[in-house]
Amino acid sequence: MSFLLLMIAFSLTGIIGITNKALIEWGLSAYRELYMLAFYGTAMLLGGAVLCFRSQESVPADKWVGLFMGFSGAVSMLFFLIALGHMPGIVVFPVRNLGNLVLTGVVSIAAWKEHLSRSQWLGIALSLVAIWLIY
Amino acid sequence: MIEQGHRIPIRLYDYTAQHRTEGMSASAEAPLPRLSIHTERFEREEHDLYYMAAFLILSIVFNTFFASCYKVAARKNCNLQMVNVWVYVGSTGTMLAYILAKGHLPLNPHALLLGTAAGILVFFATLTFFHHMKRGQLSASWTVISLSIGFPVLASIFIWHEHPSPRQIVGMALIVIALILFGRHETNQGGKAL
Repeated sequence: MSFLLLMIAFSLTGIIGITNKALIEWGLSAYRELYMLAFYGTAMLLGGAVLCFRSQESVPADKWVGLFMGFSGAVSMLFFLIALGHMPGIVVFPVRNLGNLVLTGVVSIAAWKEHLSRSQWLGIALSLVAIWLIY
Repeated sequence: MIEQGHRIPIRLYDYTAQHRTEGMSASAEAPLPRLSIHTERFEREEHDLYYMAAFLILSIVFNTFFASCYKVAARKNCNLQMVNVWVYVGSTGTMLAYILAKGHLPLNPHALLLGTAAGILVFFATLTFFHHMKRGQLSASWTVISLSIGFPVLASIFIWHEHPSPRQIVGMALIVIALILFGRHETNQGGKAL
């Protein structure tokens, strides 16, 4: 079940990458802010609608963690779309993901003391080689 | 510099075309000194490369903050659905503040529709990822999500006709193998949990 959820998130995230690229390729770069506002606004409304139908318990940390994530995500995407508007997709997407992979790996091991299995290490090594080859 | 130039063929083409046009219009009055055109072109290419690299690095740093907070949310026993909604409140608020600071918002129905469709997708992508994170490891899970670059990369090639080199094609094949390795581990973990 956990792997299935991961595969759904994987597929949807990939399709979102295509919409980002489509924004640039369809000559809509000048409407980047409108795209992002619709992007996050729609998700916010969907989330709000779900909460209206299902009562949820909440802790104060929900709000602050969520707001910080929202700020980080929006700023990250804004910078990403600016870079994507000036460089080929086959370069920008892998480079950004290589950076995320390395930095997130450092944070995971240093801050969360996570341990990786042999196949995971092999997967990370292969990912690094793959992204290096693409770049 | 030649190697870097090779990696951004679209930008190189843009500059070449732009200078070709400038050269044509200028040549009607007086021939441009060839050396100065090339010097300026390379300076602009280099400047643009660093400029865009800075944007990419900033994007990576902020995305790492974002990714790390998934684990914070899980460890603080946050209500993941509530966090998910607050994420989009924060993002929408950030965009509104940015638009207000810029002072104008150009409108276009296609951009609006595309953004709305992407918003629906990202809501469900984040929700499923949050639920997965209850059992998964941050580094492994985020690596798998990172590999979803295959979608836009393939779209760039087959829809928008970007041309990958042979080594880039080998790299894309390796991404699939890496994904299978992570998938096997995640499946085993899921089986143990159940």
